[in-house]
Amino acid sequence: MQFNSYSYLLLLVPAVILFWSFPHSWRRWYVLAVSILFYATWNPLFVFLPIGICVTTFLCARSMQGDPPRARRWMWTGIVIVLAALSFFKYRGFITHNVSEWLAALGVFRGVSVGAIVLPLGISFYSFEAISYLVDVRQKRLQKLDFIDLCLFICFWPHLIAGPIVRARELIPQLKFSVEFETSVVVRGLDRIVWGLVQKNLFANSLAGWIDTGFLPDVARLNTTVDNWFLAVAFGLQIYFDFAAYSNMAIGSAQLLGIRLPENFSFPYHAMTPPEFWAKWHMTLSRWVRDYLFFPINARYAGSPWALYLSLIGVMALVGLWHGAGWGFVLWGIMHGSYLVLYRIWEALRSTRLGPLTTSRYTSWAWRALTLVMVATAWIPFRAGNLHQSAVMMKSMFVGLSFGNSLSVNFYLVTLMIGAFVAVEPYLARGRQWLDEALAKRFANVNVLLFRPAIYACGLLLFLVFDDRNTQFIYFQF
Amino acid sequence: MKPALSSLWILASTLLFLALLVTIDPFQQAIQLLDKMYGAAPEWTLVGKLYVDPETQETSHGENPVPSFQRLSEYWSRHAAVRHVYLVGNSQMYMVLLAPGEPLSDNPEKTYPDLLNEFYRAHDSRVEVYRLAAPNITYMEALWYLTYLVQHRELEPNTFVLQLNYETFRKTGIRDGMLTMLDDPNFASMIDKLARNDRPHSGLFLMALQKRREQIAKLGKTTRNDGGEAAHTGIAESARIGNQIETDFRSQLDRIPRFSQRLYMKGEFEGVLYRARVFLLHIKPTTPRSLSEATLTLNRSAIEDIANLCREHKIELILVNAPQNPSALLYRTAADHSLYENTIRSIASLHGLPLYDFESAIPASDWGVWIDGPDPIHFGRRGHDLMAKIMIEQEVVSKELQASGATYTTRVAPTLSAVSGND
Repeated sequence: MQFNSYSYLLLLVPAVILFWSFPHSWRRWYVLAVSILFYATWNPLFVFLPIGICVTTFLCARSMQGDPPRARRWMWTGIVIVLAALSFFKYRGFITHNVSEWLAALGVFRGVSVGAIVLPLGISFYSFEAISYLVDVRQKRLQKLDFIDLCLFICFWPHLIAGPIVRARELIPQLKFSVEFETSVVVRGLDRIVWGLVQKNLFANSLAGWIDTGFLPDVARLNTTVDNWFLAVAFGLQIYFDFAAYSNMAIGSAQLLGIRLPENFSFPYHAMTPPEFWAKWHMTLSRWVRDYLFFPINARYAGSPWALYLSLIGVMALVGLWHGAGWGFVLWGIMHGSYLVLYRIWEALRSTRLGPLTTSRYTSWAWRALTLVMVATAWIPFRAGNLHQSAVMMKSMFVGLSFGNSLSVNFYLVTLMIGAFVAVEPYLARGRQWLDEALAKRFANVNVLLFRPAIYACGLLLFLVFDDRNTQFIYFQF
Repeated sequence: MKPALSSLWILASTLLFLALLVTIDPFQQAIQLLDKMYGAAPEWTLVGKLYVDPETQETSHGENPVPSFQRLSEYWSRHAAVRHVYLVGNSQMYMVLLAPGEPLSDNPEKTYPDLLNEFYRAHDSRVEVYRLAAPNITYMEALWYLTYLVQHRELEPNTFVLQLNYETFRKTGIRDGMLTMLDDPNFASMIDKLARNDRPHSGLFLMALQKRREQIAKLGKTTRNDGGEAAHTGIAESARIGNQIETDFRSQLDRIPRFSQRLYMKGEFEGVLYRARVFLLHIKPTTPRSLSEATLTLNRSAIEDIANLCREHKIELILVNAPQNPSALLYRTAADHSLYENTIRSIASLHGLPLYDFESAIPASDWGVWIDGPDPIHFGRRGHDLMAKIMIEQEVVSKELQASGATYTTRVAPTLSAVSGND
């Protein structure tokens, strides 16, 4: 059941009403049951996977507390089991295919293949959450262990499928569901859900068809420089609105239950530098990677800049691989890792004679433009079918420039329109906040009871008008 | 107000506002306002009352062709002894956009394929013409259609008249409405075969197969493994319970009056954007454009596959270079014009196909007016009449009547009848 499906939206209303009508003590069980049912609407058989991961994680965590000398071993046992499940479902085919190819290249043997298994929905997300739980217990950031808390933390339906990736210590205390019902709970929730619906149906889906065609291998091979730049930008916009929409609907759904989930996006295309981009894009993944991967690796090899640079590229390559079992994703990660390294080197120049240059206003604008160009370029391998296609498209973007448009003129116009919207998005958000505050001061009731419903209706109209059942969220596959 | 009560109020008033918006139809209002502001051509010039005959026309215009083919199959099995001719092309074949000075008629308007049929039936020429047209049809779709037709003996054509058009060489893809044809297993396996071929347009077929597989899954039905090996996660296919619930919800919601209006409103919303493009950015349907190598390659390969399929099934393939409005030529440069001409001529000569060039057949005065200027694709009543006359005189569809002395009598006085002759 997708967040932008009619069934989800219509079932959410009674689900929320029932939630608030239950006594506090029942709410935990109710939310857990609804979460499991929500996952079962996709595939009842695979419900056992997140539950199995919860059981494994809990047993390992309890063993860590009960057997402190072997805590490290228990943590790694849990992590290995979780990663084994993730690898089995997500990377089995990729690993087998590549090993088979390499062995064949060495003349050993070929022809090893594995049967296709459906990727369990959300496995990449809840695996990371389970790992963070184990590490937090090991580092004593979590003291009190409770199996139901853990199940709710992993399976809480608003973030189960595609995040935001939550930390146990920020979600578990809220899962007592002790908040009292207020109108603001509904308003905050609906604000996010309706905006998410518009982002998904109006912005992300409008570009999807052209992007699918433009990235077809035989089309991409003949694309002009202009086509490929527009496709890179358009895909960047599509994935941003698609994932931001999902995150907004997840955050909104949680808010309807009085739970605050962390933000996932903060106008990423306004980033001035590559590190800032990662502080604004998929923020919960960035901080997970920083806290549970980059810091531990870097702490071990501290001191050497080369170790830092290598760890940045290596960690980002893993982030790429987390997104999908393909070399295109790995290349995307390596490219982003290289951008981060490039910026680190630039920052290191501050202490040299080039210092004044690095702090100039023009340089910061140049970095802003460069960041956009680099981020857009990296979307090519992320979206393209294979490395060869990525190379062909990227080559046409920078070498042997060619002009003309292969796709409908509407594609270029819609991309420009949506791009222009992204350019003014933070200012619109600020304006909306100002208006909200102004209305709240003088016309609080009119705002909540009249103005907002009118805005919601406009958003819902756009959602309904651009309803397309044939699209799903891009991040569902990761 | 209590929180629970105010929350219910918010929900109820949101739904009320939504119902109000659907009733007001703001996008239609915006279209009318823009048309008024910029002096667009009156709406009535686009004729709404057209002659409809499901036995000679694919009436869904590509949105759901299977029922049309079922109907045709029944009709043609009763007329098996005659020559079955398909006219395949874009909306030029089924739209009438009245030219300046042409009054609106009370009778249903006929297009040139209808007039051809009428003529051949009247002269008992043992020819049945079927109009297989869709808006902005692509050559991949024409190949898609032909592949379907040759899978069904009673639908198999004797002659396949393919309209060639500069604008069509800029289009690619298979529309969603045609995907239901994949429910025919023989056809699906043929398309699967084409999708696996190393042809430039194969990827589009693969994409179409994958899309249909996901559509079927989302309807809560079981999917067949007929869709090639497109990389996908299988998420849509696996979500059986969720898909079934969604399908049930949708069918219930569609019973609410005006709920299905939403799909129509999408067209209106796009109409607003389209008008904004035309009026504000001055990017009009008549704005000349260049052909890109990518679309040219895809379309050329699709037409060549059509030629090969016709040869394989002993179907006569005829190419017709469709009329263009002389006052709204779409070529951006002379090089574009020669590239297009060279392409269609080289396809014709490579495959030994007859090519009729009717590009300048319809004089400027017979073309319709669209929004704020001459329409590049659609002509009026005189235009259709003239086109039928030319096709009969040039013996595009049938060569049997000329000898018998049968001639086409025009319904309206043509202003010009010069054609550039066949090639």
